[in-house]
Amino acid sequence: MNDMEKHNILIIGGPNTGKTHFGIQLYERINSRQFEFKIDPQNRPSDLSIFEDGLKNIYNGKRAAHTEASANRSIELKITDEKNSEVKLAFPDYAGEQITSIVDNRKVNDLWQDYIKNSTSWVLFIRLNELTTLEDIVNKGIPSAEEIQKRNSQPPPVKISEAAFYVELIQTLAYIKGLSTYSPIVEPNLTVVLSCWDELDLPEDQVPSTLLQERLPMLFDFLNNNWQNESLSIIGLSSTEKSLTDDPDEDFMDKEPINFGYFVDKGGSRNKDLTSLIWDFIGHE
Amino acid sequence: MAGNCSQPKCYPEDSGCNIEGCINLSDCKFYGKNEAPIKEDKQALDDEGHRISWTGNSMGLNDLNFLTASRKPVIIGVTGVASAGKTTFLATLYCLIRQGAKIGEYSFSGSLTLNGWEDIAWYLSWKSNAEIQFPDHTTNNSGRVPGLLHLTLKNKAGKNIDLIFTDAPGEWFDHWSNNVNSENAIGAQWIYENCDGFLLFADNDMLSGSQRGNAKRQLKQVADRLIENITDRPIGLIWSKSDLELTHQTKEQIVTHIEATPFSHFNQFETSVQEGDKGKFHKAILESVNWIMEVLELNHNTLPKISVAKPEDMFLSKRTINE
Repeated sequence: MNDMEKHNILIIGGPNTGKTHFGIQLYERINSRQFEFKIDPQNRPSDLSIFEDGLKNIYNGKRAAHTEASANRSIELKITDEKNSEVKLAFPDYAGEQITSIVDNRKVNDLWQDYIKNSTSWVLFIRLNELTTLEDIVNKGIPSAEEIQKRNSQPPPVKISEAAFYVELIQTLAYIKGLSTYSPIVEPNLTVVLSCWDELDLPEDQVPSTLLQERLPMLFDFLNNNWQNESLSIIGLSSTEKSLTDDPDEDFMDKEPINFGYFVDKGGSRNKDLTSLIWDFIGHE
Repeated sequence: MAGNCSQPKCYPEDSGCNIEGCINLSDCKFYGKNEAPIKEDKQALDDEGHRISWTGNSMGLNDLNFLTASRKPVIIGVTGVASAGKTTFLATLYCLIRQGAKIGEYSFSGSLTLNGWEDIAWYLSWKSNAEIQFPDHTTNNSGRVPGLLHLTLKNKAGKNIDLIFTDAPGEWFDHWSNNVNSENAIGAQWIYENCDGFLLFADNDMLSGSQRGNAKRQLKQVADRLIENITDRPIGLIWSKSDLELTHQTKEQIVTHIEATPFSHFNQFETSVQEGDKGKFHKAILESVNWIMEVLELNHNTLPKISVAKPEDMFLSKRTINE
């Protein structure tokens, strides 16, 4: 058996981008031992409380609750693939507001500095459906007189555009990790996950990277220019295959959660085995 | 003196400790040594976390250190009289890049002044007569250094270019063209001395309006000043608001005046916030910046001629043989 590879996957995503659902669905698949990556049965994590509430909800066909702002827990899983090579995965669970505050406050606390320093892979969650459309002179033309009047009486938005937000976020993380952006970055491996893919109403064969280029072109250019091709992947994800609400979904209860959800690989094909995403995350083909 | 640091060039509250590199400001020997009372207590300082070294706002001179420590940026002076469309040009440039536009072969690869760009993109695309807002750092040198906006670009071959655009009020250039020694011209003079290339703005609106006579005079006067010590730096003449027709006569008068004093690199571009036929006005914005980059790329220093008349010098002798 190979030496155990240890990977620290840092899932990076603002509020409501689907991190918790993904964590639960991934864990359930690993735990079921029916997919490519399986949990080491002798080494199930002793503390599962990180997934407890979410699992309860999702098995009842309801959406998982928002992770509380102060929560900072992490879980480590020992998993093996079909060839029996072992991978140790660690990922922290936290509320997405912590990400927003990194950019808003332009600083990183000690805990996040540790997360960033220890991480070997970054997984950036972006929920395209929740992005606000840009209104600028390039795509909206010159504002009308009334619009100008209205805007004059308003303070400028504190919020910067999403494209700028994500670029600043990655620039900040790279700076804290001490990466040089002078030559393309090889490590950490970066996976951009376009989450809640089912909400987007896309054609079957939509390629995720093309979609990112259409929706957030500046971020797309930034990532392509700063990451080595082999260390960057852009994929789509629908962890639960449909939107769950606070009302129970009968299907989910009857069929079990692991039968829902898929990801869209780089080439645009769908795959129900979320565990094989781990290959993308850790940067192996 | 800046903020709570006793060192003159350190803004610890904004961009972390610049002098000592302290992670916790309370450990810094310079922090809080001012006479001004320190507001935060020690506990609050310890929890502050690690700041990043750029504020995101348009930069002042001291902020440049972070960038220029590693490489030499190309500084582009955006010049012209008040309301000639300078900041609008910059805002449009940013909006185009945000939509994925390329400058020549180069595409967006980062910026230390994203907030600054976002500010002008918001303010100036939606306001009729916006004032230029200066970042805090610039106010310390008020009127001496313009707000600086930064972009890193990269081409397919992996070559990086850092561009800095000056975002200065047009009044500076009015004063400067009248009297280079005027107290109000210091900022414009700084731009003139430090920039690697210039964009000079000619406003089609003013040049065709009721004050067109004087507008021509002002433009020619700024051009004269720019040409004075231009050496081989490029000047791109930007006909802004080109969606408005300008008489051939007016354009010719301006261009004839500028070309009367020959200098190495001169070019003209018709731009507008309106995209124009097939986006030509927007393309011209990107092309003007690309043109400056190309000219500067070609402007290499010529290698010094080495005299080969010294046969006793082995190194030089070898060169003679090879030549």
